[in-house]
This record gives sequence, structure tokens and C-alpha cells, in this order.
Amino acid sequence: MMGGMKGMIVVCGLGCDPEREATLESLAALSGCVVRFCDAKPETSAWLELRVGALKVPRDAAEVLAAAREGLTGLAVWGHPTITSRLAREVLAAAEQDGVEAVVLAGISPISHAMAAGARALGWRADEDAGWTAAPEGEGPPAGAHPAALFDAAAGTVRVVR
Amino acid sequence: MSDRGERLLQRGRPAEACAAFTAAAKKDPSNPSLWLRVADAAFLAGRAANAARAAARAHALGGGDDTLRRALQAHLLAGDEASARRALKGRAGAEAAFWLAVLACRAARWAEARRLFLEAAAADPERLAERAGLFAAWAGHRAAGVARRSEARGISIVGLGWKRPRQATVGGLDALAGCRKLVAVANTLDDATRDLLCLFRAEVSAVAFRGSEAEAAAAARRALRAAAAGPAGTVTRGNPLVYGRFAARLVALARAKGLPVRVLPGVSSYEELAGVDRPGPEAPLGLELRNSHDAGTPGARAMAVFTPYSRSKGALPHRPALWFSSEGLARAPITRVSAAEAASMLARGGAPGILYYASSAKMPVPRLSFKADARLELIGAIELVSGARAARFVDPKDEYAAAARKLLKPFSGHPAVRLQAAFPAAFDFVERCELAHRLTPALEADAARFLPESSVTRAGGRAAVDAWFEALRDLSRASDFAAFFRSRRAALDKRAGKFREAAAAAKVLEDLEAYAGRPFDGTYEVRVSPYFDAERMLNAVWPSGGATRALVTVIGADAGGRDPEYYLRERLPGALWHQLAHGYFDASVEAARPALAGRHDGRATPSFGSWEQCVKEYVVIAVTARLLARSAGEAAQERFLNNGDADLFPAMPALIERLREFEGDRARWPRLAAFLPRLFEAFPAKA
Repeated sequence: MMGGMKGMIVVCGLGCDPEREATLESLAALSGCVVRFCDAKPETSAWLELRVGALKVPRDAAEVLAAAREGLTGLAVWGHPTITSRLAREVLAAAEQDGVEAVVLAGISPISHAMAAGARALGWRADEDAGWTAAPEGEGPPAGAHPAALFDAAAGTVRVVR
Repeated sequence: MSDRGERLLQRGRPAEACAAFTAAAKKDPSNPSLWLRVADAAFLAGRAANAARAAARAHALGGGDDTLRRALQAHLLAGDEASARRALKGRAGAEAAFWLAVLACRAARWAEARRLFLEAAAADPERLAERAGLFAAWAGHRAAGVARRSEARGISIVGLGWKRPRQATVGGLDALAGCRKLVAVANTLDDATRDLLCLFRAEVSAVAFRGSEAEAAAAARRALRAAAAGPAGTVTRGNPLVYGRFAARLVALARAKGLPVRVLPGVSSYEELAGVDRPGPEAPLGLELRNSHDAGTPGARAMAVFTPYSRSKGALPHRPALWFSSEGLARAPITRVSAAEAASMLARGGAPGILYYASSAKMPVPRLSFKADARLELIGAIELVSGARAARFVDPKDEYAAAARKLLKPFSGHPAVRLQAAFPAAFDFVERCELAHRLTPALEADAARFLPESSVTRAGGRAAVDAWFEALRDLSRASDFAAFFRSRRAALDKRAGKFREAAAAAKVLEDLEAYAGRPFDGTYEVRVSPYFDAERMLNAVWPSGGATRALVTVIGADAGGRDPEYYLRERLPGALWHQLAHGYFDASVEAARPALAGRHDGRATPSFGSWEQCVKEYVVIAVTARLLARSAGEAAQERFLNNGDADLFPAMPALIERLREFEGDRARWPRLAAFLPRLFEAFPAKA
């Protein structure tokens, strides 16, 4: 723990298909936490619990932060913490304000998930694949020529549109 | 060390490097480092057994944990578990426990493996906490049960993440565990990755790939050969499909051979970067990525992904990918910059935070694109099957048309075909495109994109049009037209290439941006179809919520065939400027409605149905004429203006004069929008 910091939180992205896309570092980090929260579908939580230990469903950012002040706390979220999770962003903002050390472990974002599912490359054929957008269902995507991965973090789904 | 060996290795010539290192090692046989380099080069050259012997020799000379690790890696990558066990016999300590756990993994004794990894991590946390902790997580995952079965054949392309093996995914490793052969790209083969590959009882080999197209193709062919006898896997850094020349080649090759191919994504550089950034809770969720050849687009706020491709296109150099490491990234402040600022930073040759990122789902996508459109191709294919009788329909009579006809032939009795065949003659194919290209990609009517009443009437009324749309949706689903379109898209887009190149040569976007004094922040899609009449053009301007509107033009793939020189140099750029100017200035004309109400152009009845619409046309035609004059000469302006419509625009000469005044004093008028009130004074005031 860094000097002057009061507690620690590890925010882990589980990817868009957690049973395949959870990273080793996320599993290892969550295993080492005193308290663990999981903001994902119940099936995902059940799968994760078998691998890292008991999980709680977070009520809000304040609850997660209160646990982090007491000891090393993990928060697992669907997708990527800073791209697809409002809760993760709230926790990170509150942690910064309260002097709680926060670490983000990146997850597979809807863009990477959609690219892999379609096996379409970014940057190999610029004419076809000049860009990608990930946006929440209902909020996007912007009008544009490149593909979009629309995600619904609550449902744990990614939909690709062109 | 052998400098020659290092140079050869860097040049991708591992066999010669191996010979050079061996020669050096024989001159200095008690130097374990040299024997380790022999092992490295031998493995890359496909001589795993030689690599194992060299590594064992290095360990016999060195005797420490580092050389033990290298020797065990070499034995296991060569598939020689017996030698690995002999090397471990009688050895105690954390490193030995770690390798016993690796052997347990290879034998699928997951619980034992997890326990041994955790013991190793606890015994020597400084050296082993990370790798043993990660592998304990993997073993724990396997011990908890994996529902998905391994693939019987095909190739799995697995991304190990930006920080490997920390960001290796459980699904990626599950896929590798089901493979008989594994092919690793040589530049991934650091110690940590070698440890990881040792977890699997597969035959492991390496392919050299340093970035060139030829190397990518050769490496992909080798990987594909590995998949001939059974399930195979390959590992890459980051996400296989980002900067993914090798993976993209491999996907294409596998598909061409009908071999199942799966891509297991890894955490990429942009995801790592997003993990370091801290957007506030109020910022929109999402992420947008662009290729670096788009990074110079003014007004964009996005993260650039730099690729070898864009380098070859003369865009930004590939350097940024080399500028940050995981450690550097963690220390570096994230600076949000516009794309233009980033391009400028690159041009200056160095700055932190060159990869840039903004999570803004609301960001418009500035872009002028030329491409095929599934909606137009669907109704074209239906027209082929329904007898191709619609006026202004072009049957390309080529292999593509034959394939489309073959796809839909089983559906010749489908309502979509029958309805299209029965449409009134006045509802010609161009009119059909006019309605179809306004549908959503899912072929639904879009409330924001009105259907022109005249076209709907000619089709037989709204009920007839709605029935046609419903039938289109059904036929698209039933025939899986989307898959057909995807498979043909690259070839169709290629037909749009000459238009794309002409627009680039005429600097359509750049010239208009310079003339208007502000960046183009809307979208403009030029949809090109082989079925569309080469003499016609459809245009649409839709509000997009931003400052500039969404623009669409439809043209035929053979447009300009009669006089390509004129078409590509004047006609097409003029048409694009016309549409773009609508996007730029229509809103300004609407805002000036009160001032314009007191002016006229001398005609008793304004053209285009209303004075406001008439002024919009005046503005865009005058701007287009001046851009043509500046790009192709004053004669081009005259040709453009004297096309038979001159009587519709009696005030045009006065507007052109005012624009010359604007051009002559850009210091006073940096933006054309600010000059518009003065431009409108060219219309006489009503008495």
C-alpha cells in the first residue's frame, strides 16, 4: 500500500464472455482479496465464486469503498472497468477522492470481443476496418461507417452493427 | 556473445544464427550464456532437441535456478518430459516446486498443480509470486471444471494480452490445452511465454514474423500446416487482430481452406491504456478506435491505433506502438488531445500520451467513405431473379451477378421477388434504391429518414411499400443475404476504389474544409452499386444531431465510363462538394430565414418549391463552382454553371462575385459561415 493511502481496491474487468475472457491476473488478484464484489449476471458470479472464493453483490460504490478502507478489496465487473462499467468508474472516482489506492486490471472490451467473434482485423485492411466504436445500447453508436459493438453491461451482451 | 549471431537472429535467420552461436560457444565452452543463445536460435530454427541439449549444457555449467528454468523450458517445449523429470530429480526449492506443478498441469492433475504453484509462490515470493500465482489461478480454473469441449479440428488464434502472461485469458488457455500442435510467433517467446507454453502437452514450434506482408503470409502458411493433422493453436501478443497482419492472414487462409478458425481475444494496448485513464462517472461509456490514417481528421477525439498498413499509406509512422511499455504507461500521464493535436505531436517527433483515448459514444465520425451497401445489393439481386425488367436497372452480367442470382434462385416465389416484379413501371430501379437506402441496416423504416412522397406514390402507396420492406426483411433472413454480402464486400468495395482515389486526388474534403474555415465533423457515405444506373445519382441529407449533417450519395459502379477524365476530375468532385456544402450550410440558411424573407432573385416563383430551399441550392452551387475553379480551373467552373440550369439561378453571377471577395480577404473572413450574411446581400432587396 502506498504511503498516505487508506485502503486498497482492485477493480477487475472480466471481459464480455467471462467464462472465456477472464484474465489470469484478475483471477489471481481476486483470490488474494479479503472482500470481493462482483457486478455481473448471477451465472457469472457463480462461475467466478468457484475460482476465487465468496463474492458479494455490490449495493453501490459507497459499500465497495467502505470495504476497501478495511482491507484489500476486489471488484469484478463485466467487460472493461473504465469502458463498460459505471459502477467501476464511480468506485474509482470515490477512491481517488478518499485517498484509497485503486488498481484497474483491464478486461476484454466489447470492441475486442466483437472483432474476435467476427475474426475481423483492425488495421489490416484500412478500407474495410478503419475503426470501431463501443457504445452502450441506447446511447450509441454515432452515425459512421465503421462497425460498432453495442453493449448492454446489465445483460452481459455485445451486439455488432455496421 | 556473438554479434554475428545476434544480427542474424534479428534478421530472422535463426538457422545461421544457431551456427554462429555454436561456433562462439565452442570457442568459449564454459560460458552458459552462449549455450543459452544456441538454445534460443535452435528452437526458432525448428530444432527443439538441439535447443534442449544446449540449454541442458548451460544448466550443467551454471547450475542456478535461472539455467534450471531455461533447461526445463527447452526439454518441455521439445516434448521431452523424461529429461525434465531427470533434471528435477533430487532438487528441492521453490523453482523445482514450480516445475513439478507445471508437470502436474501437463498431466491434468489440476488440484495438485494449484497446491504446488501456491507453495512455490509462498516459498520464494520475490522470484515466483507472480508467475506461480498466475498459474495457480489457471490450475484452479481447470480444477473447478471447464464445460466447453475442445475443438476436434481447426486452428485457435490466441492473444496473450498486452502484459503476458498476466493477461492471458482462461478461454485462450483452454483452447491451447486442446491443441496437438502450438505455433508461437517468435517475438512472443520471452521467458514468461515459454513458461506458459510449457503448461501444455502439445508439440511447440516457432515462426519468425517481424512485420512484413511476406513474412506474415509465410508464417500463416506454417501455422496452417500445423493444423493439418489435428487441432492447432497459435499465440500472439496483445489482441491477435489488432496490428494483426499475421492473424488476419491466418484467418483468411484458414477460411479459404475451409478450416475452422477461432480467435480468442487478448487484452490489447488500447484496453490497457483505457485501464490507466480515469474517465469520471458522468463521462459517456464506450470507446472509439481509429486507424492512424484517420488520426489527422480535424475535430476527432479518439484513440489512435497505429498500424503497419497506415504507414505504407503514407499516414502517421508506426513509432507510437514502440513508445510505451506497460511500465511506462503506468507512469505516464494520460493526455486527452484532439486528433489534429496528436498528428502535430507526432510530426514534432515526440510527446507523451501519443496513443490517445476518449470514451465518447456521442462522438461523430468524420469520414468520407466509398463502399458497397447491403440494402442496394439485396434489391438488385432480387431484381435479377424477378426478371430484371425494372427501368434503370443494370444487370452487370458478371460472376457477382451470377452468384447473387444463384443465391436467390430458390426464393423465386418469395413475396419480395413477386412484389418487386409487380411494381408499376414508373417506380423504376433508381426510385426503389431511393427508398431502400433510407432503411436501417435491419431493413426497417427509419423515422429520422423520411421516405420521399413522390417515390412512395409511384410504388403504389405506403401500404405497398411497407409490404415490400417486410418481404425484404424476410428474404434477407431466409437467404442469409448478410453472409453473402460479407463474403462479396471486399470485391464490391474494390469497384468503388476509382471514386475514392478521385476524391482523394481532388482533395475534396481538405479543400472544402479550407474554404469553409472549419473541419467537416459529419459523415458522408458514397454508396456504390453495380446495379445502379451509371447516369443517375441519388443524394440525401439527414440531420445527425451535430453541427454537420449526415450525407449519402448513391452512384453506379460504372458511373463516368463514357468520359472518365471529365467525370473523375470535375463531375464527381463537384457532386461531392455539392452534397458536402449542403451539410455545411443548410442550417445557416435556415437560421437566416428572417433576413432572407426580404430578398429575392428576380424570379416570380422561386425554384425548388420554396425560397429557402432555393437559397440553399444557390449557396452550395456557388461554393461548388468556386471549388471547381480553384481545383480544375475557371473553365471547369463555367462548364459546371452552364449546364442548362442557368435560368433557375439568375442571381448566381452576383453570388460568385461575392465569393471572390470572400476568397480575397480570408484574414477578415476566416469562416465562410460568418460571411454568409454578406453573401445574401447579393440577392436584391424586395421593393
